[in-house]
Amino acid sequence: MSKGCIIDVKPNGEIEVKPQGYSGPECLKATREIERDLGEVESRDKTADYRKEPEKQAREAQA
Amino acid sequence: MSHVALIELAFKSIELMAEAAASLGGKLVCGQETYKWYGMWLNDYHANEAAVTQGVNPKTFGKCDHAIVFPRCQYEVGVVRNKDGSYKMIYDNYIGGGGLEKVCGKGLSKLTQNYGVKLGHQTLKKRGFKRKLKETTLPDGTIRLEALK
Repeated sequence: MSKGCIIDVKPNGEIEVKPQGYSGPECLKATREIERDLGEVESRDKTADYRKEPEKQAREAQA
Repeated sequence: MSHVALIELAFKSIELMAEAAASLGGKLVCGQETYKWYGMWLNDYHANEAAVTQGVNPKTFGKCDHAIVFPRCQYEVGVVRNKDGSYKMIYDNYIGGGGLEKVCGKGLSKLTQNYGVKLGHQTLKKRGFKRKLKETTLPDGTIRLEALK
């Protein structure tokens, strides 16, 4: 899957950054600089994919 | 997608602020140290969004480092430099800011969103997300930028 990034600029000026195609902690690293460029992080919500992907990778490594 | 970060936009670029203003028909005047407003603080407005409530000293009203001027608007937007080097925008919102809210949105929302979009484009390119850059407007007015590395 290609690595990408979505930036949503809301009508009130708030911004959401959503990395695409990254797994687990890699996505935090990938977007840290982008987040810093845009402003101050108010919150960071990990989705189900954050936990799923590293588990999948670990299972594949064990197999 | 494994996480979503919610970010409070920081105004750090005067150049992008000028571009955002220009996209709404305004002009950023660098070095203009006063902006047009009612001209007198009557101590009659203390809502959450009021400058006074947000820590701005009324004695500084009308003073700024740069200003944004929109044609046919009675008042102007003041651009004030913060101690950390970022900027804040300030305006007199009495009766729609003398026409400013019609052009820039309530609370300068359109101007802020335009700045965010320009900053988003710049940031994606700077961080290597340069392929298939796409900009779409969602039904709730959110402007979505997406790009691939």
